[in-house]
Amino acid sequence: MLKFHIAMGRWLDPMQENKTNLPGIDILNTGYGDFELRFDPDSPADVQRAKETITDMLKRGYAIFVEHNGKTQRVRKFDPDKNVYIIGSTPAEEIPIAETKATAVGRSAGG
Amino acid sequence: MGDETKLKTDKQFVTLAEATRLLAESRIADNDWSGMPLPVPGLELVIEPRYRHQKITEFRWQEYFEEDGTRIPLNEEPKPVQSPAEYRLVNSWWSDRLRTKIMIYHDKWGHARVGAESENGLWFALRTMEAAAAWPIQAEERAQKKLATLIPAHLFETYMLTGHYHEVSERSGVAYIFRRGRCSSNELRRNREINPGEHSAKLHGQSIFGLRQSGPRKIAQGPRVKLAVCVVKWSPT
Repeated sequence: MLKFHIAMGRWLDPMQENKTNLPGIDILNTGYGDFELRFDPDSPADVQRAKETITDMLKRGYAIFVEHNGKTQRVRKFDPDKNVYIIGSTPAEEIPIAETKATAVGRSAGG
Repeated sequence: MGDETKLKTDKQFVTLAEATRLLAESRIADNDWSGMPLPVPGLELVIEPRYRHQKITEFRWQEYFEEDGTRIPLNEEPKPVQSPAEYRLVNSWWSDRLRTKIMIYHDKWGHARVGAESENGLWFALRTMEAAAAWPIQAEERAQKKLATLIPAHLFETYMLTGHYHEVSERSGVAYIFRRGRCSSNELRRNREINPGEHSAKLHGQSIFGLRQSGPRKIAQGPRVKLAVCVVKWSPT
């Protein structure tokens, strides 16, 4: 069985339930289903990889959703300098990536 | 699978669904969170243009084996190299009134052009069943489990019972119908009397958990092959 614990953070063993409260992103992964990517906010390397992942996802058209005020909101932008998801135009609508679990879904090819 | 990935398995033969799972685990182990769809013999793989692994569409199986060991060679021609398209698909939707799929293109000058593509529902269902040969049931279960955490319980129950559920956008008033195994969703206006026969299909920009193989879509093209008991031999290089 593959062990997924690599530099990027907590790439969880698929055979085990995730009980961690670390922040991260749940990704709808082709061929795997729901894949949980966690990162340690105290680890600069983890945070850097998370930033790169989020930036790449948005560039590729992934929709990222976060919970905010009890509602699911779509992330409009990501600020890699402040490490926040931006869901609106006010500072109150900036959500630190270290304080939330996001859900990411890739774009459809059509159909 | 080209030089992009090496698959780790002791098995000499695997089913397409097992191959998909192995491929996904292999990509995850290589720091790749996006996953990779598996081509199915007889179906063309269509991938969103920004998806990371575009080269997978060029892959062609050379053979497959039935469960009794019978080798079935495949003679799929490589996709011909095409010059860059002068038209880019920008939107498409199903017109219930016209019973056809309307497609909007932009030409190289940015002018909009319209096209139409007829779709046979029975063929679509048959192709979906063919493509399902490459979908690991574990992935579907995992995605459904996630879906259950994202939508209200009564909607998830509806989804489990009927294969689809609907949700109304608070902002636009549009109701989206999410259907299992179908990437498209229907839209209904809240301020109109809802008539199931009146709705029009809408191309939904993003996929949703619980829809199988969301992201890439497979469409039929070229010779058709029997896939019901298809297993393939690994030749990862």
